Amino acid sequence: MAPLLGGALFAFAQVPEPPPGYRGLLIAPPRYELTLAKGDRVRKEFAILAKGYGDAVTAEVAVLDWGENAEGGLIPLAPGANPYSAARWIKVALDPLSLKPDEPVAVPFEVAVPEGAPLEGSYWAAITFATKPAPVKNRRGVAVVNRLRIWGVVYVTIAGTERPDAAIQAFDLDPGKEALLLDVVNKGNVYLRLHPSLVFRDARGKAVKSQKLAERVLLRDGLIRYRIPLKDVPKEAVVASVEVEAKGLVAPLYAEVALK
Amino acid sequence: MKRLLLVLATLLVTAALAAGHNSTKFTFGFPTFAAVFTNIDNVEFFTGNNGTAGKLSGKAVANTNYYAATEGGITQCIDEFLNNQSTPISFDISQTGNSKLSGATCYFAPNSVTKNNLFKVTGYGQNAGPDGELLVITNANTFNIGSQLTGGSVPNSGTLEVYPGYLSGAQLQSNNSNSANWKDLSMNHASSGNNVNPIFTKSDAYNTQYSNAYVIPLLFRYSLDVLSASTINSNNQIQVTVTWDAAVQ
Repeated sequence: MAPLLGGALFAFAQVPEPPPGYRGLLIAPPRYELTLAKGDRVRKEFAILAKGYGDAVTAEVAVLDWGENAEGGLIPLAPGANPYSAARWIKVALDPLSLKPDEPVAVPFEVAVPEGAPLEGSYWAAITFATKPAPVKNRRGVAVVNRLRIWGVVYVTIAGTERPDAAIQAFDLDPGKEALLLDVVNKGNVYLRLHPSLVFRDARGKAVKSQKLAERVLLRDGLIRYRIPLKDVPKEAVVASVEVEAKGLVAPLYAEVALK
Repeated sequence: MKRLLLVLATLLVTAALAAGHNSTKFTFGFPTFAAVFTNIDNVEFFTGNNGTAGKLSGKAVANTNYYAATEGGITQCIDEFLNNQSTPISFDISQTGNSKLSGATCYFAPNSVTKNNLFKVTGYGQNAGPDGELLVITNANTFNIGSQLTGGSVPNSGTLEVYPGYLSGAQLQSNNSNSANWKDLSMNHASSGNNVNPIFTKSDAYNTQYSNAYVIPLLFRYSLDVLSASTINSNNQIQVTVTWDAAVQ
């Protein structure tokens, strides 16, 4: 553990107090997006705070590989299962943390990008902090205990090798015509933060409704699927168009579909 | 404590700037924080003290489609299933993929949920009390809550599921209602033991009266394939851990 940065303290000070009876972990910041050259070595830190516990709580520390499914849900992966893993570049003390309630601690870590390896584009991993639930004793049957694990996500992009590219693979009505399906695939070598905007137009081309969709991260080799329920769409809308922006793309991605 | 932290942070930043330190050291990129809380300790099915079959209690009593989470309840469920089938079905234990068996499921509410506190975030118009909540606090644009089931061997015939919301009594009685929103917490979709279904994102969460604070109500249930129901009895001791993963991607 290390002295806590003022930034982390300031971040924690912005966090509203959880209701009585709730307990859990806070992290500041929740992610790092690093652009480094081969051979670079940087030190960063996550600050962790336990709240709502009556006594000190133990948090287990781990470095985790992860991926995502098409809906954007994150999936912990077995070590080595992510071909773009940054886990092996991260050095952090894996000793369990003893967290006293409301006393933040800093967890320093180092990211060391190897020099000789043929690297290009983005890599990622996470440092996780997990509570250790108390076992249920003297009970039989199925007992489910709850454990909280908060992630400190680390992205590393190799400077000067970025090749952002993506494409809309599909934009269509679902079979039941209850939703629009938008599939975006990554064709480059860096992760992208997708910001799609949807516009519904009438027969004369006039926009009758527009909406922004939630940001999602599109990993390397990944596919993200948005399912957009067709609720509250004006009757006069005959066409839906989508524009997907992401930092690094030469131009926004565009597609449209007839609704009727 | 919050006020103390704020004062301390302000002092530290001011002192650093006054000393001519590099102020970028104190610059955190957006988002600056994330947190996950819960008020749930454990959720029990088919449990009792020292091997005694547990009794159904609480809200689930009124839900006629939920059976007592006891051995007797399992028997009752199976009996009703068999007796109420208008079309005879063929049971072949080797044909687990047989579509005729797709409806052969009994659903059980927990017979016990231990919460740290009965406090609930109010104002969401809920009609049925949830089994507990996850509370996510972050100033990020988006977040993910995943789940991972480890530490025990849930019988293949059973599936732990969770619903992210409040259901009315009528909705609870109709097991098919909102069934798409029940999320499977079991390992049977991935050999790695991770849930490959999407779990919860910001769009599943309810806003609270606080900015940057979102609540995800949770309802638990245990679904049981009646063909294999005999594998469950209250003399077994099965303890599993649900890890709630909270990440700002």
